[in-house]
Amino acid sequence: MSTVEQSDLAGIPGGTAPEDVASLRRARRAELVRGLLHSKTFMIGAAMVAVWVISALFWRWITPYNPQAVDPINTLKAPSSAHWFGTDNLGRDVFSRVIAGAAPVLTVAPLATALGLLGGITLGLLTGYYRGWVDDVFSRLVDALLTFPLIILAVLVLASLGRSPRNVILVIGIIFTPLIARTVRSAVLIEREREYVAAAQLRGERGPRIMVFEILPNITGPITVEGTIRLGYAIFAAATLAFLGLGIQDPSPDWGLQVANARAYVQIAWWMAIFPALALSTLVVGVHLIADGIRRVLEE
Amino acid sequence: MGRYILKRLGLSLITLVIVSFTVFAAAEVLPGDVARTVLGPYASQQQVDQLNHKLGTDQPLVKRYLTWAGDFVKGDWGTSPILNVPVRPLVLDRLKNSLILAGFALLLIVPISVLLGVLAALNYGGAADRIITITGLSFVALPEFVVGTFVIVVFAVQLGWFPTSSSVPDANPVDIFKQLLLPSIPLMFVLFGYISRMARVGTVESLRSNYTRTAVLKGLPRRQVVGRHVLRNSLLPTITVVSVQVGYLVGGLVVVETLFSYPGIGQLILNAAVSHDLPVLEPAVLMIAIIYLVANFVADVLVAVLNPRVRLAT
Amino acid sequence: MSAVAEQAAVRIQGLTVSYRRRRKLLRVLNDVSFEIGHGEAYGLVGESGCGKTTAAMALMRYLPDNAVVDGGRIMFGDEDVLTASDSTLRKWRGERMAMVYQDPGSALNPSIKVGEQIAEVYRFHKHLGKSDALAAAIEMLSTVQISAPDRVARRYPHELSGGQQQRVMFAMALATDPDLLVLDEPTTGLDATVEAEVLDLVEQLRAQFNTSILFVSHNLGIVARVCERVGVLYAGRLIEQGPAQELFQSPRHPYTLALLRCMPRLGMRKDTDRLDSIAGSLPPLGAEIAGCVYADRCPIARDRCRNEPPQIEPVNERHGARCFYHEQVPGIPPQAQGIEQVPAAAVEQEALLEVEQLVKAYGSGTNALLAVAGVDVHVARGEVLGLVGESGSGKTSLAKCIVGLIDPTEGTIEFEHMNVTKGRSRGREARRRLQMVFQNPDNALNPSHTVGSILRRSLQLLAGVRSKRQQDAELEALTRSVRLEPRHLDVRPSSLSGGLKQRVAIARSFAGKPSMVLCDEPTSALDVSVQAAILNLLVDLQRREGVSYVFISHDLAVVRYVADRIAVMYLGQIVDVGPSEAVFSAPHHPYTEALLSAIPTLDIEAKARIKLRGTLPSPSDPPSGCRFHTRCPRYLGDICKTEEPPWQESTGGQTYRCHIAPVELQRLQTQDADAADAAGDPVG
Repeated sequence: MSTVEQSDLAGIPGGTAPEDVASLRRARRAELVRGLLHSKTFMIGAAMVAVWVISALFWRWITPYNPQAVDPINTLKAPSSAHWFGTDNLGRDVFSRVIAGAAPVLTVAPLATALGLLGGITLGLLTGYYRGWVDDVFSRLVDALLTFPLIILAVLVLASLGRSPRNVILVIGIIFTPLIARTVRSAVLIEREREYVAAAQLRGERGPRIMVFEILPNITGPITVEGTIRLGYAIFAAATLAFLGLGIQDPSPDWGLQVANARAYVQIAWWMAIFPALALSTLVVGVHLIADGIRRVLEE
Repeated sequence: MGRYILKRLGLSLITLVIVSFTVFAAAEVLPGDVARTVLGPYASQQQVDQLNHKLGTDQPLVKRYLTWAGDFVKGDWGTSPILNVPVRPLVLDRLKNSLILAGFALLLIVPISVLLGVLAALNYGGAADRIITITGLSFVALPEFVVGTFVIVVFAVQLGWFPTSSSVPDANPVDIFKQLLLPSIPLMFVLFGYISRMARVGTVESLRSNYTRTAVLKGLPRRQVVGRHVLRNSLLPTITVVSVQVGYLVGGLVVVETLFSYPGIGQLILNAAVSHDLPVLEPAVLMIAIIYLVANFVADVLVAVLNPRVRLAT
Repeated sequence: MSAVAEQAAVRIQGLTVSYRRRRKLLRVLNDVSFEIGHGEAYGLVGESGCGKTTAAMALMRYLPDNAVVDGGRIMFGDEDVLTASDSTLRKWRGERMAMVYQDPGSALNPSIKVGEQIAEVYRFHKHLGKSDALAAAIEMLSTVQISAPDRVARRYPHELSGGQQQRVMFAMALATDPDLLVLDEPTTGLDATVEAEVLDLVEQLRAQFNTSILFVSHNLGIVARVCERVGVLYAGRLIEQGPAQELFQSPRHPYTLALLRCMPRLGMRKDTDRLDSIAGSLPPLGAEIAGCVYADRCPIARDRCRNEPPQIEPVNERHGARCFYHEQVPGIPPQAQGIEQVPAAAVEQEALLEVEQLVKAYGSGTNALLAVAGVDVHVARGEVLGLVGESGSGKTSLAKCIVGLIDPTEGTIEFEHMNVTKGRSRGREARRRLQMVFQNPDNALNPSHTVGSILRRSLQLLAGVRSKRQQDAELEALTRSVRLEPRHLDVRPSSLSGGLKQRVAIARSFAGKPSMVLCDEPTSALDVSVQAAILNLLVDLQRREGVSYVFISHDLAVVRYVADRIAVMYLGQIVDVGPSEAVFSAPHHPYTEALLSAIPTLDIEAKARIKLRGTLPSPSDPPSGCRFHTRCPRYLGDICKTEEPPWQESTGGQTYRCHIAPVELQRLQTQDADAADAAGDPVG
């Protein structure tokens, strides 16, 4: 990054023209974007995710068959030119169901992540900035929460509350909240020791304003990375819950659900399991590659 | 150091009390009536109330918790109203099965992960590093049922080397591999991702540290620098990471055991949760928490023994 | 030069190094050549970013991965370090060349006992067995004057104090009696008294070992003290080199001259002397410069300087400067000459700040740490109080209590007759009138806000300026008062240099027309040339606006320059307080005496150093009686251990806490100084 040169006493040569200075801010943002475009990890990840985002948005126009259309004559057919990925036990076209299956997962996971971010950022800012007993209690509770497998927690809750996409979003979002809060909190703990926070307190700023306007803009880096990684895990979790029969229900073309249904036919129709599993793999790996790319560029 | 261990032990116990209460409260408070589930929709309300009274589910929560916790400690875990079997032998047997599977996965993957993580760090920025990092990154991302499906299709269905569903192996090593290798692969994928990443990060940090510079500028051969100075400091955090992964492992077991029809505690918990079988669910989840806390406690003590900073602090 | 060349231990020839950053090569060292004779100490000085550490690391061939050596040779004996095979290099490192650097705490392996870490050198280079190596290590520890070396050898690094850690590093480096010792800022970050100890050790080790030394430092005083010859680096070029004494007394490069004039020398006072500063700033890293690298900032630069790079011109046999017009350099007038100091607003007798019996404790019960243990501070309107003390003295906690960032445990703070003891409940008026300038300008400005919005917000909250138009007017005045330009308002702090950032921070604290500003080490993160400009600004503002400062600094020359009165803190208490000149001259508290004697100065004059015994006690378990008795050079006996010392009144309104009466102390302290003068060399 270039430094604006300045004379000790005004009027002595060695400075930069004002217009250069004004464009520095834009230059910095452009530099981040350029870094991302140069990052192979990020670009490959982005391409993988882009395919599924397009599928989720436009599957109605892309799929060769109606993903729900049952065809009793052509059940469990191996991949062919008519059915690229074969057909399932009800004769539905697996290719069409894989394309359409991007929609449910890409609805549930981002919403759950957004919910977790909202709660996590709020909680993280509050506990990190104010410290004190609230923070101690919170830390203890998160420790306790982490002692049992989160998927079991989700199973417990969904088994009781009922199995709807809305409940899946709620459960994942709520479980993510303390996890994201922990990341935000540790970033806040570092920032609050910086002297600009003390300076803000000295000029009489109130706590909420310091948190939102002083600290938050400086921790967007870690939050972006955490959010992207969490999105990956949200997809992971939503798919797993669907696989366990606790998430979205049949006849949705959800990938996790498709793999679960395929379990009974795996000996005779491997394609029913493999293609949705592959789809899911590319999506989660893509998201994680994006997260890694962003992290690398931010660290540079 | 004795004081440190006592303090960690105390904290673990406090966490255990919080966890046990939360498990109990979460399971009991959530909607869903045990008696109703047992008796079915056609039983009369009076019958339901009677059964609830018999099970004690109409008492206040804290009182029920204390009774339950007392019984748990005494070893009186009751019987499952749904499976109609005593809970304790059931849970402990399933737990044993799961520990066999998890132990198998850990034994195989921890050394490999640490080794590759360190290898990546020593080749920082090189091709080996990129390959190991990206592989780890992708492995962590993959849900267990996805990896499990792949290995079943390839190694069980297409190649026929392994059974498509696993059972508890006998002591014969061939059988151990035959039964456990496939279901442990999805777990190992995720574990590899976490552990190799931590080993790599720890080693890279240690390699960049000033004390490593001191060791290099002392003229020590590279093997001495890495063996004596770098690894000693870089692998300490990895111990903690492995212990934290025990918590993850059980979550993974729920999926893997379901996929491979393996009779472990994960599958038991899933079924108990779905069928609202609280007498089975509560002790099973609590046992998981205890195992996790024990693992963490052991890791803390291990780190304390190996790290003079903690060992010598009062 | 040729005589030196024959016997030189190390010859660096045309060393040119670049760093690769974002596919660009940025040159950090450009054609640097110098030699170090056998047993000679060569000092390499320069401000941050001049390439001095790169040079040191290149000597050990331990450059970062993104460094590229574009050319040059480093001849060690008759082999080139830069092309030596890995196994040769490994044999040299630790045996023939060794290094000690900044921050000894991180340079030692935290999980290996220090004895073993030293023993390793013997085992690998001298092939000693395990127990012999350890015995040799313990022997070496006593050579670097560690008491109870066999006990220390069994300790881990974190159990040692900073001074002890650095001694261990020296023991390790000198274990094999190397031909070359590279010292990279070995005392930076250590307290003044510890720094003095380490430098004493270096001098003494030089008498025992015939090692050549490359001493890299930003501190000219230290280099003057330790080294025979000095090279000055500027923007990656060696611009002047020569015998230390000659170079510092009659520099022949305009930059060296300017750098020397920037430092406040003992005896300079803000009332009479203005500090010189260097106009302009360093050229950016990797800039292609056709002529002399210093031409843009040089008062005697001509066209030739901008077009043609100068070579090192010999001043005499041993002294050379990279300047076409080096003969004119002695005639350059001080840049501050002719600029009158702003007349001071009169110091009124009215008390502005009254701190009574202030106590700040952290934690509670038996673990309580008394950072400030009952302190009274009085500052009059328009007065500058200097607050001096080493780390752990409690000066930062005291400062934070005064500005209201933390609440004191006991005691009261009264400011402009308002009770402001509790920081949180301060009203706007109290906040507006009492502001603070922080140590690190990188941290003190929010990186996501523009300079303009940072200042505007302060105007809004502190000065209560609400209307946009009035804000604009005030903003412009404020900007001008700290000599920033309007174009700086639109950028974020990260694109400003350190000195500019500190100007913004100063402007912010002055937004509400304060009557007192607390300056916490405001120049310690800055280079010498920038420091001078910031001090000038602070002094101008203080004199023009009639504000009071509480000025915290570890640099006694700086404090003496700005402060009207000085308070010296030790372990949470004020031990010496009074008008600066009185505190700086005998009689003064023995601790003040030790602090003063620890300052390395450019005056090449042998002075008896007051050595402090032992290490700083923990503030959670302070010594009984006089807190300083465990280390006091003037320790009397049991009375110091058992009784708290009284305040003694000395001449000129100074008071100090000691059992020794002023007359006696005066006698002791002047006696020693005379003895030292008699023993020292006559001033050259």
